[in-house]
Amino acid sequence: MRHATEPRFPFADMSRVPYAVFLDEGVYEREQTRIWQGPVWLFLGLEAQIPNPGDYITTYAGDQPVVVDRAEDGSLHAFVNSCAHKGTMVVRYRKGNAGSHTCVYHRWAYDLRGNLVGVPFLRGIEGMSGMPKDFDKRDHGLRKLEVESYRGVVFGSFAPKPEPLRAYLDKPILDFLDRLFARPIEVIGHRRQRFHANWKQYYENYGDGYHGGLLHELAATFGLHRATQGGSRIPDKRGRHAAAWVDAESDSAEIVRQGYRDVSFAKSFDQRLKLDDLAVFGWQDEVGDGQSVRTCAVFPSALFAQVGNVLETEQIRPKSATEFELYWTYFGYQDESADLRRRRFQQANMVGPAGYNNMEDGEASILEMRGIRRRGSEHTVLEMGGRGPIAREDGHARLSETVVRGFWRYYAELMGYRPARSPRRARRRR
Amino acid sequence: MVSRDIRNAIVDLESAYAACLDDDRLEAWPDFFTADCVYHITTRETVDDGYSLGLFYCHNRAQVSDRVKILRNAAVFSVRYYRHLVSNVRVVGEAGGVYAVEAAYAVFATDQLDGITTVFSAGKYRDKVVFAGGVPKFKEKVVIADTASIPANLSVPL
Repeated sequence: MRHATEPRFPFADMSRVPYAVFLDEGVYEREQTRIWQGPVWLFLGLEAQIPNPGDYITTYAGDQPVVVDRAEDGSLHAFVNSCAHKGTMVVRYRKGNAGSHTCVYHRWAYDLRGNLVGVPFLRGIEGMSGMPKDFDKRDHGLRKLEVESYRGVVFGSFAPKPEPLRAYLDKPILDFLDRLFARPIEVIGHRRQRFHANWKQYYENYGDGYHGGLLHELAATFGLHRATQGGSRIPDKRGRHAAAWVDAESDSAEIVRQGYRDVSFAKSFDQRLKLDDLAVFGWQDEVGDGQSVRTCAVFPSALFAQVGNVLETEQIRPKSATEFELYWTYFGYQDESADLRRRRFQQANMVGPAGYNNMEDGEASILEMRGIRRRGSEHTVLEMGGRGPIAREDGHARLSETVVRGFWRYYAELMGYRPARSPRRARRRR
Repeated sequence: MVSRDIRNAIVDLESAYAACLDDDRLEAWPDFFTADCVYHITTRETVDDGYSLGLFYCHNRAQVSDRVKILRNAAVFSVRYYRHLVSNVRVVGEAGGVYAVEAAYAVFATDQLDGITTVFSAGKYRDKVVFAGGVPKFKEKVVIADTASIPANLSVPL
């Protein structure tokens, strides 16, 4: 399964990405070790999903099944959902409340911190059988993750001593989460979606402002987000995550007409699609800054967004090089008005697997995968917004793939793929 | 006791609804609903977990027909054929001329490039049917999908 030749990033600015990283199961296996179990923080869920002691959810950290729960003292814990005895999955339900977790096979029992607390017939019966005398339950707990929470957003890490979560997220992401989780939330639903595509093709989509006003014709037509609108895109100090937003009122009819001159939409803006019920576009500016869409991607597993009035998180769950699941969580604020809650529900028709916006993102990832089967030694082209440094962009930051290059830089670093040393050679391109 | 004629008309409605979608006559799909209809696609796990936000929600027929306009004119989604099998149709109650109906469904998707068919969604319909001038219409159609993780995307209605 290992790839014969290491995927090669030919330019230090990561403006070329080898297709092999999307195709190769050897690359996928290496990612599970070096990235997903590496020095990163993985998004696991929201504290609001497990408000009470004993509450748990089952989820994934990379492709490993994980339990996240809240112990008696309110502390958060996460551990691999695989018995220390024979690897059996211990917790078999999506969510629940439990005082301990017991494997069904031989009834080994674990406390809410993942420590082994019960082994049936540990000392045998009537002096016969049982575990060896030196068997120590303390040596056989579930594999634990480091857990930290910021603003009620729970992250876990397999690294023994990961950098502090706040440092990992850095200011642009902390600011984003401060705003999105400004008040106590209430989860209103989850959705999920399964793709025959590589998880990175979807992650890239989040940093790729360029596609937004092009792939998403409906959103562009009704101005939820358009390629001609301004906005900003801010990477963290290492360029591995990014926060972005759209300034809804920043373009004019004239700029839109000019900008979309060469775009082959089914309907032009002049003969705009007529809808009978515009509730799906009933965005009410909650903060008063005119930002209709705000998105934020945290390497490697988390996406956070405000789309109109929809508030959501997305967790990426890789399954193989060519398959992943996307797990969405939608929420509102506990103290919000009934009218605002209604808006969130109505606009939720824009997002998720059946939503006008996101059915398209998934399809784009799938089409990428379908196209590249025999192109493993070739490269994608990331040059919109320019080459070179990966830095904050304002103004027409939507027309950019810069932060996508930031993702690839950190990816290659963790994977041990050394990009070409020198900046790109000057050369003529068609 | 629901009359045989009513029962037959409701079974025929469910079959005609499926055939309309499978034949890609989406423009005719809104006609199966009353003007004040509710059309809601959710999942069984959403219902079990007590959440109210499902996958897609229309609170009137205008939104139903808007979905058709958008799918036809301004959306990108998987190029597939669909086949709905609707079975076990039961009229489970009636109050004031509104018939409560439940049925099981399975939807197969066929990728138009590869020609391969897979199970796209299995679940149930929980419907409310009224007769307007003798013609049965859905006043409410709630699709409760057992299939929680949507294969790629959900475009054509369930």
